[in-house]
Amino acid sequence: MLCSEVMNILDEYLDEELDAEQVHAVENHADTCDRCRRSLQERLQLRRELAGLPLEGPSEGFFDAALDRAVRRTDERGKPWFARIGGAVAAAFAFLFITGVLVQPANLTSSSDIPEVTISMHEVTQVNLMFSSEVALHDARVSLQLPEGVQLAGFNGRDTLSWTTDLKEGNNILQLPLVGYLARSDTLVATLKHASGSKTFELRVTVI
Amino acid sequence: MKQANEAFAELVRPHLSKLYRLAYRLTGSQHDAEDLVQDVLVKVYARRDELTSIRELSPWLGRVIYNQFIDDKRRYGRTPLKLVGSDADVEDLAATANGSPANAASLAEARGRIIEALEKIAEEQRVVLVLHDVEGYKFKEIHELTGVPVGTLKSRLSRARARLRVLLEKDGTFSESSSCNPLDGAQIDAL
Ligand SMILES: [Zn+2]
Repeated sequence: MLCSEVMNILDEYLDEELDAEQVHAVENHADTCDRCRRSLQERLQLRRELAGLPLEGPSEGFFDAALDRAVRRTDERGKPWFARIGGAVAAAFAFLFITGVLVQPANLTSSSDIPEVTISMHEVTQVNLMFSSEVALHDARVSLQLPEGVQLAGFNGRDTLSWTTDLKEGNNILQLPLVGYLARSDTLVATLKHASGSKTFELRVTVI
Repeated sequence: MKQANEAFAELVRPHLSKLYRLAYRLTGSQHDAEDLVQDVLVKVYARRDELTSIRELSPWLGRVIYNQFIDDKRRYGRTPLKLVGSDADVEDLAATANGSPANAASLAEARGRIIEALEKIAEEQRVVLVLHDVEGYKFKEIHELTGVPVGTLKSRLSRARARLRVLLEKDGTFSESSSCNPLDGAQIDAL
């Protein structure tokens, strides 16, 4: 059997779709041909990688909550902002692992050690955090701890959020639609964990 | 007598894990998968009277998920940055890599590159690849889910695999040589 013929049926071989004669031919050829043997091993390895691709399960209590929401048919069924910018959120947070942070709402109030923003009570304020990184990161775990009296629009009642993400290099903006409902000043904490270490970032949020 | 909503939950709940899995593979992120499942549950609840007459609920629900995904792709748009894995996965990875953070990191990177490459494959091909090679669906099951003929699915899968190999070779994840020299084979065969 020619190499080209073997290569053409390697996938069928791995899918176990060949008849005994063809299986025999492929295996005989691979025994004596380094290239085809290497191709076979690499395709097999790729199949294993694919079959082992991780799947992130639903957030805790999602099934119950989803059934509940479906039955109640409320308007809060989606997570509009998060679905829309979830990737950007995930990406942006990773970058604080590498560099500092530039808070850039118009109402930036301080340049002390901890960046600070002021938001109005009961209004959605987009707080943009800008990050940049020189390297990509894979499988990083991002956690967000909201200060008391501050929520993310669309996530009423949640004071923590976390997710795992794959990251790429470059600039990114994390948009946090913050809503304050208690007049106070407290710290928003974001943590990034990765095989290579972890980093915590703080943002002072004042609600007026 | 049971309330309608309890009966609905009882009927649907056993299928939610599988539906979520499918939604995750189609959308590529937890958040989009949850949105997709949520939207489908709202739709299905509106048709709850039909549910009891459906013989095989699981494939039926799978089709609703798939159709909703196709109908409203922009809403579940695959973002270029994917949410993958979990803490447990990272720990698994560290364990399978003999506890070496370096090995775990390189395994995680290989996964990351595969996920990135998947994003670059045409969607109709990627769906077949992900369902067949990642989730282990049979062609018949993918046909039942998508309505696409098995022959078409097979050729899409074949193109998707070839494209994935090209994408990965380009970045060095896998080093499979792009072609064999037919003459080498001929010589060996002749021996
Ligand atoms: Zn060969």
